Amino acid sequence: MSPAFVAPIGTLLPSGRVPSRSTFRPSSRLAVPHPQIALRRRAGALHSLHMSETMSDRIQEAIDHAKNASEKYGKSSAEAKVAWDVVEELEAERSHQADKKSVKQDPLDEYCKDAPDADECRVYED
Amino acid sequence: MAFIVAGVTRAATLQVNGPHRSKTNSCGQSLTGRRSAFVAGAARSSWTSAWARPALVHPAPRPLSVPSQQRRSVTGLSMQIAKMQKARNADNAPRGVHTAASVGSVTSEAMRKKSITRPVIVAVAADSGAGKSTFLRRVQRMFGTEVPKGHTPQGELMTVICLDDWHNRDRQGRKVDQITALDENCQNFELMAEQLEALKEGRDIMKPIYNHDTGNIDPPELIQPNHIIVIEGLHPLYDERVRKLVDFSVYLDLDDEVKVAWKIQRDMAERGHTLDNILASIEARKPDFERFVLPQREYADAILQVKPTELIPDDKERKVLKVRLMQREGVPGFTTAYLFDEGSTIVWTPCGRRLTCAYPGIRFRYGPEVFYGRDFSSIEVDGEFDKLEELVYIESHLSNIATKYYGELTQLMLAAQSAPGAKNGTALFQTVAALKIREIYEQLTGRKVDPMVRA
Repeated sequence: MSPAFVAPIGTLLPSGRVPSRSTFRPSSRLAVPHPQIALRRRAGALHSLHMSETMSDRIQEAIDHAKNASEKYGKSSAEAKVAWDVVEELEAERSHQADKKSVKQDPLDEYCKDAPDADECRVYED
Repeated sequence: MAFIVAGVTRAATLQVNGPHRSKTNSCGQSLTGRRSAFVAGAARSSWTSAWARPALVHPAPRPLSVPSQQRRSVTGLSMQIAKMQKARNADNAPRGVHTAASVGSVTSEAMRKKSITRPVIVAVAADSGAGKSTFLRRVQRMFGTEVPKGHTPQGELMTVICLDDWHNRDRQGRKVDQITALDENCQNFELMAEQLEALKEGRDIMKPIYNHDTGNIDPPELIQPNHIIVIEGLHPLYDERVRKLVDFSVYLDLDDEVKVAWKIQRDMAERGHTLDNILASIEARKPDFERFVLPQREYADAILQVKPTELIPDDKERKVLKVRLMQREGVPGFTTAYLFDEGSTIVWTPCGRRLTCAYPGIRFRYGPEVFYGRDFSSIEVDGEFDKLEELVYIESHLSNIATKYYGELTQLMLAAQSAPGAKNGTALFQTVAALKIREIYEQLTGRKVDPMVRA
């Protein structure tokens, strides 16, 4: 099986040839990792970053819109109320999504990491 | 299996599946082991394995748009949807957003499969950012529900329904019509009442979905009756028809200073928010909040109030809080928790010779109160819990907290140490409220729920 070698896209050996795999590939194509694979791996890592960025951008837009509305129509106007309500909804959604994403670690394991000698962390092995 | 039964001493646990027939396949393995929920079985030593058990729920609900000819399964899911009829109030919403909502015409399969006596409906009312999610997680832990995926978590024992799903306008519609989500005219209360009543009577519903991310109203999902159905949102107690379906209700109340502090913690960490914005946001929201959400406090059976502390003069951090649990007297199945002597007035500082506490210490108050002209018992705690010994000491002096073994309250609080408010009264009284919900469920249905977090 070919080694898991992912060359950064566009790297070239000093001689100008692209790095090849150690195993023989009966293919006429140059033996470089498919750019899509490298892209997809990067995209996977960036995907979650991208989503939260969109959320933060949306919230920023909504805040700007709300501030404009309160300046234009007054703080207690219907436009301002509705605009601030949208901001509140988006922020609540962002914090819910962040909660869901955070890894749920067993609190007992966390506790035992700090205090392995505690009573609760005793391990019985037969 | 959602419940752990430890050993033969738990003979009192009811066996809900009738006479227990042990079916085995040819290899001699018990087949009913996985299916029955209440059966005495091998004790699990680790409470964490409670999370990993397979939940006995129907497969993920499919949208109504899939034509029924394509579904050849005999799981009963297609039968369920086939027996649904359009809800009476499905056309109530402007722009026809709820027209796909429907209600089952026959008793759901789930009633028989899970042997549900009668669904118990618990309402949690709170403004956004008041600690609803933390509270709901504690309640879910009480019933050992592994949180299933999907918009509405439908576990083996508990379903949590967000009432925002009955908004009759999506975000765009609200902008056009200039109303906030808090407004009573933004909820389809008729459909809400009709569908919740159907659930309570044991029928399935196809409930609309409000997508908080996109702000759109998505096609409906199948919700089946469950042992406990928690409805949470801004208006669970607003409408009379919904209110009379609710068996027990909790209202989470925050003082203004605490509301600002929590919002700062939640939102200022991310970029884009300044203190001015936060204050403007709360101010703008206030009129609608006071008109539509606050009046529900009158109808709640338990009110959890979070206030600034009295122990630290000029406190601005709001890390130490004073939390009060107001419990309504005379609610069926609800025996109010008390300190030392029921009905008397007590001020108690546990820190002293037997218990040493860090600054600023802990102070309790207990006594009868009259709120909205009705009798309540109020327990209040001010300060922070730092050590395990403090929790155990306090637990041993609280009465009627519905624990099943000595130390259960402490264990439950320790199990959720990473949750916000774990060190102050919010954790304490949220846990007490969750214990009370378990007790009320047992009282109303006559079933027993085993503790999920073992000693």
